[in-house]
Amino acid sequence: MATDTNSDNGVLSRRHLLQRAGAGLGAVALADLLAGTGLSADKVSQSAPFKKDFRTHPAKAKSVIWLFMEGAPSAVDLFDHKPELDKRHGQKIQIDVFNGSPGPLMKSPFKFKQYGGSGAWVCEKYTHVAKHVDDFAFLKSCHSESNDHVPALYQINTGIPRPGFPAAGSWITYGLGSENRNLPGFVVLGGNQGLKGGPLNWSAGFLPSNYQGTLFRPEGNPILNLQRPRGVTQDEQRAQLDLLAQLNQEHFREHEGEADLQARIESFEMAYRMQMEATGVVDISNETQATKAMYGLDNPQTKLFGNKCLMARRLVESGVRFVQVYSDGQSWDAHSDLIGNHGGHCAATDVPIDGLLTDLKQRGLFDSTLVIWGGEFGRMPVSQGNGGRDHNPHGFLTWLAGAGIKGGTSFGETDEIGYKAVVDPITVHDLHATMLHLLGIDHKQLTYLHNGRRYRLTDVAGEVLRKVLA
Amino acid sequence: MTRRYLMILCLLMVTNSSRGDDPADFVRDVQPLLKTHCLKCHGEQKQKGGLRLDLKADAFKGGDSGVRGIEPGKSRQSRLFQLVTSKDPAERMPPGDEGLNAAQIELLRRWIDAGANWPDSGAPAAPSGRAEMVVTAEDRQHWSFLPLRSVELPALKQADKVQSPIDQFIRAKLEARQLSSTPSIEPRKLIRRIYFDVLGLPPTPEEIDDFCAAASRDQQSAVAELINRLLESRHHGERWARHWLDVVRYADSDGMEEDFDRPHAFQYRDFVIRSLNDDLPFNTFVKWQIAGDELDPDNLLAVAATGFLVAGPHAVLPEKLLEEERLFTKYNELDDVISTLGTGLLGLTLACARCHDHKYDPLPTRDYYRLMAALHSGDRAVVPLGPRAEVEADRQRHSVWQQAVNAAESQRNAWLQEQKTALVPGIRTAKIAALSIGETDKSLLREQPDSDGAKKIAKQHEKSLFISDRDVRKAMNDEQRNRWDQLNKTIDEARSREPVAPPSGYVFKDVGAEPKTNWLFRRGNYRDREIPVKLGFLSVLTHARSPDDYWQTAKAERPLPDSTYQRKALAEWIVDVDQGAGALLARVIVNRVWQHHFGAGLVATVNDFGTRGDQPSHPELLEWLTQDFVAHGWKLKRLHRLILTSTSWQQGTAFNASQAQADPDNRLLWRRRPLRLEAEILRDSMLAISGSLNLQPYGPGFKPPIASEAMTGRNVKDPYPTNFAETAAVRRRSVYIFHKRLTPIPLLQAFDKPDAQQGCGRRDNTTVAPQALALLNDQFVRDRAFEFADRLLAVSNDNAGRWVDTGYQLALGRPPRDSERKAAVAFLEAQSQRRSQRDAKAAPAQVRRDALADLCQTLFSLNEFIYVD
Repeated sequence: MATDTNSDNGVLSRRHLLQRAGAGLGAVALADLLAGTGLSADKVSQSAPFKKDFRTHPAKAKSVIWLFMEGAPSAVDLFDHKPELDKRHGQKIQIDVFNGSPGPLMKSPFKFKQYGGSGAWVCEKYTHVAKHVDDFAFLKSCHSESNDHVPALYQINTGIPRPGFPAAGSWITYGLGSENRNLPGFVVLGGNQGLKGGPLNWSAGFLPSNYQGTLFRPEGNPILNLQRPRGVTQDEQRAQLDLLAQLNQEHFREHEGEADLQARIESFEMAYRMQMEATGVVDISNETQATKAMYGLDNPQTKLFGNKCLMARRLVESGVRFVQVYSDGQSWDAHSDLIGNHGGHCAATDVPIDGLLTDLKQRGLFDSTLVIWGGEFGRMPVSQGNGGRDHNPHGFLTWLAGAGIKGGTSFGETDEIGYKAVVDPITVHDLHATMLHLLGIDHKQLTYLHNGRRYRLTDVAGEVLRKVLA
Repeated sequence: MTRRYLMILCLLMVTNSSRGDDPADFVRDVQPLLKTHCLKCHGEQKQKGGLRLDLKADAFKGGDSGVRGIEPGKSRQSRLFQLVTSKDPAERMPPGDEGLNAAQIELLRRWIDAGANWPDSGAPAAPSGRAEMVVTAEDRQHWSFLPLRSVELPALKQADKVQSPIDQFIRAKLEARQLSSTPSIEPRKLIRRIYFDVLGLPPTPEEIDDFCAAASRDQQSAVAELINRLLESRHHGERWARHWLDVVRYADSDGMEEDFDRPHAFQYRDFVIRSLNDDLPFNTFVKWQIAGDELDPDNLLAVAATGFLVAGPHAVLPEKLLEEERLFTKYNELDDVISTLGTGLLGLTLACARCHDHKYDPLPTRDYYRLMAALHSGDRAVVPLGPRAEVEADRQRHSVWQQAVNAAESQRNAWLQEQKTALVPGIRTAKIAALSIGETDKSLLREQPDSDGAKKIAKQHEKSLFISDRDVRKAMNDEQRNRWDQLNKTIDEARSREPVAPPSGYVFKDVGAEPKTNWLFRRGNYRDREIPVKLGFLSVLTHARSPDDYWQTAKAERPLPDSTYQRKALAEWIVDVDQGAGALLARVIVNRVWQHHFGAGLVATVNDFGTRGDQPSHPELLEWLTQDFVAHGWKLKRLHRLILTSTSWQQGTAFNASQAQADPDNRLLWRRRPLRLEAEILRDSMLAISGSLNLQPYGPGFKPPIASEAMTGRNVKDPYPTNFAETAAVRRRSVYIFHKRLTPIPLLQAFDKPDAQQGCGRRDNTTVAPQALALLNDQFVRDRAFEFADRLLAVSNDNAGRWVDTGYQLALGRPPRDSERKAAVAFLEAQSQRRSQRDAKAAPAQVRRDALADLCQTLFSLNEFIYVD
């Protein structure tokens, strides 16, 4: 919903169709359109007919799968073992927490073990994920600006802890396009109970709306309006489309110079094709039993998340650029009963994540796919209520794996109890800059002129985390 | 602080430091001098001659001449010094008459000769760590900041076809480029264009015929008459309000996590519609939105107008929450208000100045916080609307009523208590007797009810011993029961007499008469409480009248005792054409109006009139229109009329390859380009054409049925309903849709309706496949297609040719061409055949209706339907 674009963006409204193929979901490519119409791009636009390619260097990653643990998982209970916290268990400390009345320091209720050649510590609830630690780069000193879920969700998704800014996936689709014109470039596989802050987490903000994330359901009709109305068969719809094309072409002959009209004619044909292709992506009947089992589809506890992980692989395989997979249920927001909450979420995601990583590796996709695991912030080292932990934006953990990532590494540290990032603090902008870098884009070059300012995903900050790059 | 004051300050510094031989201090003396006189051309934005004087290394290195800019200890060998002292006026810097005075030159000399100490840390104590921005006379020369000037109409070589001064300006530019305008569009298409532009609804076939007949007699007067009539229609406000609601990011809920509904927000939306219908002068329209409560507290519309200040997203945070988080949210929300005020009203990107001086425009951080002062003493609130005397009378009526209800209740309760006192012991005895416990326990319960033993037993049999009102009623006699009923009836009657409450509004109001302390937050850090800042406005648009002058006048009369009147001062400044921001305010709205008529503004960047915004394509025309607008009382309808009656606006759409070569973007308006209907107008048109549009105006918004898959927010309060009644109530015009921030309507979202998170001055028109999917598969579209089909079936039961003719008239305002009629009739036949072959049991009438609906849906999908010529 950009307000105030000017020609600098190369996307002045009627130039939207001048973008490269598949800029967003079903965006229409002018190059294709103009072929055979007798029109050329410069008849409708005086300059910069094709939007510039934002790639600044060879990309390591073709696509991104972001395993989004919504609700803020606790680092000290999963991947960031803190012996000092064990020692000081029960001690009262001076600390500000989101909801007030903090309890004493609380050691992790889970046991930790070291895994792999790198000897990374992982808790007893994530033993399947633990098999892959030698491929992970742990970012242990992430921090964000807000203590509240929704601003923090908006920040980790858009860089800005306020609503209305373009999501990382939108920026990436804007900068790179999708490789499949019949599928969206940016797909969101949402949690089964919805997401706090709703669609603004995958909004295109002030970018043109074709860059917004598309919420995909992993079964049946993946996106809205994909199913024909009751009482209309494919043949009958095809006949409608044929009549429409005929009448529209007649109208177009009287409107020379209006490439938008031709783009719109094409958009109906693309819609017709999408009905098949998008439905095909969610049809997993051709996957083997072994593959399904690998993702945990045979177990009710892991089926939900496993299905989305499988879908993520299929989408990436089909050329989708950016896939977010949100965790399900009532989120990782363990204000009480951390054992039950984190235990449950680990149980739901452990096997599916293992399955996804294993599958990506065996299909040769791991080297071209960046996998991200993490939430919007972390949790406090002190207890809250009955065995829970309150929000902690000062230090949390994200791990990266796959394309261009140096496995078996760790970057940054929180203090000895896991409260604040103290060594090499990592901002959300750094995370985004690194993501863009792996996709072949210098984050400072990916800009969009809006209301007189050249906006970036990384605002005015961001450092590529070179130490975790292969 | 005015510019003049700062200049004096600068000079004082110079004078002070020029005493004796004490070396000039860079931060105190030299940097402000460079800033004021040099950085405009040799700073961050421009580096004329390759010279940059805001960075140490560059300044020392010098520009393209190759001579060192600053040679420490040697002023004569420093290019900078050579140029400021040059005798050659063509070479001397700064250029023009402005050259440095002797004291300033002396200061530079001493600083360089003393070693040119330029500390790496730069300047301390300023908002961004640099010297505070000074707004200069040159800054005020940017075209949009200048006072309004009167413009002469240009002379034309060919004066025919000129209907209005607008045409003269447009034609002059075209003539200068040897381009010509395109002949007017035919009346049948013109009326359609006018209807969609002014009302956002299609004309009926009858209206089209009448207009064509009138136009054949005298086109000019037929058009003028039509435009006058439509501008008086109440649907005009409904159509144009939507443009303004985009700018102010209006919605009916909070957004953020909980997305609470704002059931009273619609009063603001209605204020906008009514104001446009009543042609409220635009300056009043703006003033009310900033300070309607202070300006006209008894006027419902004026108070509701302050809904502008609270229209943005808002998070309701519990009191107990971390103070840090509360401040974070509060100042982000205030920033959103200031930002919308800047882009929406003045076309300035004020938010850029929150953390540092604006990088491109003369907007110091201090100005940002001076403006914030106006909003720092108030908050959002729900208040009763209407004349205060009426509100007070209503409050009293309500309290009298409440007392009556209370009295009736007390009477019943006292009587009932009496009855209970008498009846309860007997009931209890009976209940004890009925318990299946031993006799000893029973007597213990009866005789020593307060003993520990009795209490223990009573606890065990709590349920059986509980005496309900039903038990009491059972124990009563008929007379008592009648009395009870009577008393209850009295209460019900009293309750039913509740007086009708006055409407409430969702508004902004101050919390007291004294301004709250307001600070300049360096680097936007809201914990920084060291620099108090009082009310002020943008320096670049403030002239002889100071902010304090405005404020003193504003609070001379205080009809509201608990308001600071700072917003009133801001409102008066913002519309003040001579001394304040009025000229810019007027230019910005005139340009917005132009954009909605032509598809693009004279200034393409409608939200940015700053130095980085686009230059106007027709500066003289914009100035002339603005002058006319202000001179005639800021009346939007006059402006609409001027534009709509121009031949420039009425041009045809014909393409011309050679003209397109010369002006591919049609910036010079040599023709008209078809405009796409906005999402809301597309929906309204389908309803209108299918004959099911409900034209009920104003009032609370409605929630149209949507797929539950579109409800994606978790923890949303007041969630979007999932059980819908398909009634006329959900077929009203789209401007009345309840905009739930976290639950966008998929059909509207697909067609680029903005999400109301940030102000939107210009919608993007994307062309994507999901739009096609919506038209092919969305239930709303399919339902309208059936209604449309039924409408055609009412015209004829079996004549396919007539269906097609009528369908085209209704949907496109013209008869079909032969080729189109033939194609459509053939389609109907083939589609019926397909349908009856597929389902042999289907009744012929059903098959016919289905096939006709298929055709109607196709008409909704036509390019001609959504792109208006």
